Amino acid sequence: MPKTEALQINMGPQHPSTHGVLRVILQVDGEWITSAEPDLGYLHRSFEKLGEMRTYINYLPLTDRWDYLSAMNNNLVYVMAIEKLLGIETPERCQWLRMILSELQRIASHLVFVGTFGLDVGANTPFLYCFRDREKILDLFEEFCGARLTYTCMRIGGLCGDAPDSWIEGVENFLNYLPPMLDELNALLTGNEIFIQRTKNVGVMSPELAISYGASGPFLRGSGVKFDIRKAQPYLKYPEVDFDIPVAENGDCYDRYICRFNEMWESLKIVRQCLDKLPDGDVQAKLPKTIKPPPGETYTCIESPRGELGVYMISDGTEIPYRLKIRGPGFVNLSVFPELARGWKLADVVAILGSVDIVMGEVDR
Amino acid sequence: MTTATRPRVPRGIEYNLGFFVRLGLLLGVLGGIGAATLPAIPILGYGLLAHHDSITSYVAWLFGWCQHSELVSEGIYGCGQYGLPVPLFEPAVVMQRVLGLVGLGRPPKVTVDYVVAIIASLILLHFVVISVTLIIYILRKVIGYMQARLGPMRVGPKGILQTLIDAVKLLAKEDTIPGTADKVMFTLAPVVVFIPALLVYVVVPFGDSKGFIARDLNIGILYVVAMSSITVIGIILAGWASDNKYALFGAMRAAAQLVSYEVPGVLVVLGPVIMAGSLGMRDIILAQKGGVTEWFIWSPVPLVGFLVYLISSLAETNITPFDLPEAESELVSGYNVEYSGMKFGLFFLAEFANSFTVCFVAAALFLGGWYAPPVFKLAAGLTLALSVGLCWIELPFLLRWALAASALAVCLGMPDHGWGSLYWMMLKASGLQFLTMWIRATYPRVRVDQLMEFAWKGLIPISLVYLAAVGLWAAINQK
Repeated sequence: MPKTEALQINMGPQHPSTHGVLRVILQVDGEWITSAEPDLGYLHRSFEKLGEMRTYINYLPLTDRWDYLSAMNNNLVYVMAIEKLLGIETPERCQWLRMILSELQRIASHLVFVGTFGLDVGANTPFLYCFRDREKILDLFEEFCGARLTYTCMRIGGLCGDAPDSWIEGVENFLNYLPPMLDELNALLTGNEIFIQRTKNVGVMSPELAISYGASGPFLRGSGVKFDIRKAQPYLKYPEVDFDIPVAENGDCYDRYICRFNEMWESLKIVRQCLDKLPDGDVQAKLPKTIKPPPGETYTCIESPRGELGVYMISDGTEIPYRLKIRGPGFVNLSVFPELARGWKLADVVAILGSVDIVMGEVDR
Repeated sequence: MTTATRPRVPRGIEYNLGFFVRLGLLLGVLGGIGAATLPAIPILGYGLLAHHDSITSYVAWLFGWCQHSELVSEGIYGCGQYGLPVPLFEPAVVMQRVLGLVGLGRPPKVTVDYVVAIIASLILLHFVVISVTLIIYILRKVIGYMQARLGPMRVGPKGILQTLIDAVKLLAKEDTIPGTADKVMFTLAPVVVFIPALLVYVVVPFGDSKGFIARDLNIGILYVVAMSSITVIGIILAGWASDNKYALFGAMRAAAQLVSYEVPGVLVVLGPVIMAGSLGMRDIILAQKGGVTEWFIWSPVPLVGFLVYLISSLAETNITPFDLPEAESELVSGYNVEYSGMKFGLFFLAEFANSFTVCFVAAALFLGGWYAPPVFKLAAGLTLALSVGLCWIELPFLLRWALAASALAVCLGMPDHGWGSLYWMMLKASGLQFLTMWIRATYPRVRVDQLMEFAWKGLIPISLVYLAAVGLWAAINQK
């Protein structure tokens, strides 16, 4: 009699659906997963240590490379931490523009998620639709700061420049452009019977499990926990705009997907309000000649498209931070993955991993 | 210095019985081919025995696979009339020729048949290769447009030579065999997959004349089913011989999937067979002569049979909602992950050849083959005209609508007999092919358990009910 034993499969680091260079060591019994263990570090670039070797200003371009799908948010949390240490208040217009930028970035990031999640479950077309629409946002960013992926757009105490009127017009056009496209995407993917079968009740995460692992972002809200840093610890001008936090109930892949999808609608709402309330004025605060924050420490966090993105920074009064710790949402969310994947099928692992929405640049740092 | 040998990767199932597995697979190949050809012998033989005056000539025929030319020239089987496949080295003929040389019998009169056979088989081979090349190009174009991009644009005008260049690239590539692979099986697998895909075309009716079907076997549809089920053996061979876990996974999935979906597919095919009272492809089409309402897509039970056949053939040819054996995002490429060069090319060719065969068979069984009653002509013409007129927006307005009008005119004027039947058959098959492309661009992939559930709990009961209904209908209406 041939005897059967568990089969070990290396999924990645080169695999189409591990979203970069994640390696997952799978133990499978037939198609069933008995254990899934993520193996990190293939994209480790030592960002935290580099932070201790560069001046505050010099490090800024590196923040773009943490989570390269939402570089705006990385910029934002980094400069916010420094501003907090310096005790600087940024001008009104700057804050509203920062909000517009980071919400547009959220839409762009979620569009990538929807597309790649579709790819993970085998639908090829939504991916291209999403990237077509994301392109419009990248064009806007390019007009604003000259870069399409690594912006270095937010500077300490302000922005790289003021938004020209044509840019504001472009954002308005985009706000009118996107909703029909989202509807189309909704009809193509969300309502697709096979898509629902593949994602509903798959990889269910209970709220308790999610909280105990420190999950955040849409990944957490898919399980029904209504926690969003924009509401819980508001920053910028978020208290002054009206928006909902999409929450789902079951905590399966479909719910996480739906949460992200609905967040795009909310972001559109926020951007529209920001445009209405955008004041005139300066975008750059007065800064000291050299950035030398007084000794002290801060933990600053924002709601990035993937969850709570935090920076813990200790200043010893020199030009270089003493310690720069990055709390990446993808890394924390990924830690739940072994719990979620166990007991599901090989095909589900791909769907569950997709619904965690990791970006390896930020997981490995 | 001894070179370190790469340790064999432990597999899920410990194949210490490698030899037996290999033997089993070989037997499987032989058994599959046997299963495909054996039924042909008694069925054909039944008719033939009557015409053989001696048992020796029957045995000679049997080993010759096709009837030999003497009988052809007597016009008993009709093979020679429309010319096809008298194998070049048909043992019976060779033996007769040898006997004739030493003065022990009459030499056969074979020359013409050989030439015809060779020409016809060359035509078929070229049809398969060229149509597949075109289909791949069209697929990439169609899916490109559906996905808001252009598809191939660089090689030749509008990228029309892209597939040709790809084929050349595949041919020029180094043909690697992984170090730990089972070399014989690894090499054999693409062949086992490709040959049946090619052989199926022997009974595909391209049009309304005996000249348009290579050989109208009176077990036509059975032959199609038998031939296309050999593919799975090749896929398992490929997956097992690659010594790659992903490939093994793909192969296991393929085995489960292809075997499961064959059942509803075959059950449903029996519907038209019952209605036509024949297994021959030509006979089945001829039985649908009486207009659109007589087509077997409607005739006893509307749509059910056709849809079940379409779905299960999608699964059998690994097209998108059912492309689990080569799932890109899960298994990277599944059973053919280790293949490169023309070996991979053969898998690719076979897949598309199969998908086109399936379309031809569906058109023949359910859509009335080459018959195009006025209603259908109008519908097809309007569809074509509108799709050209409304979709081809990069053409100038006048040219676009002129093309549309001519498409309509061609459809209305094209007869459904003689050479015109070729047009209708191709149109129907291409329409179905387009449908598969559309599905490919729309649907995600199902999961393994959902796939099996769908076959065993959904399609098979439905097809059984369908079969019972058709049988009942036929019994009641029989005079």
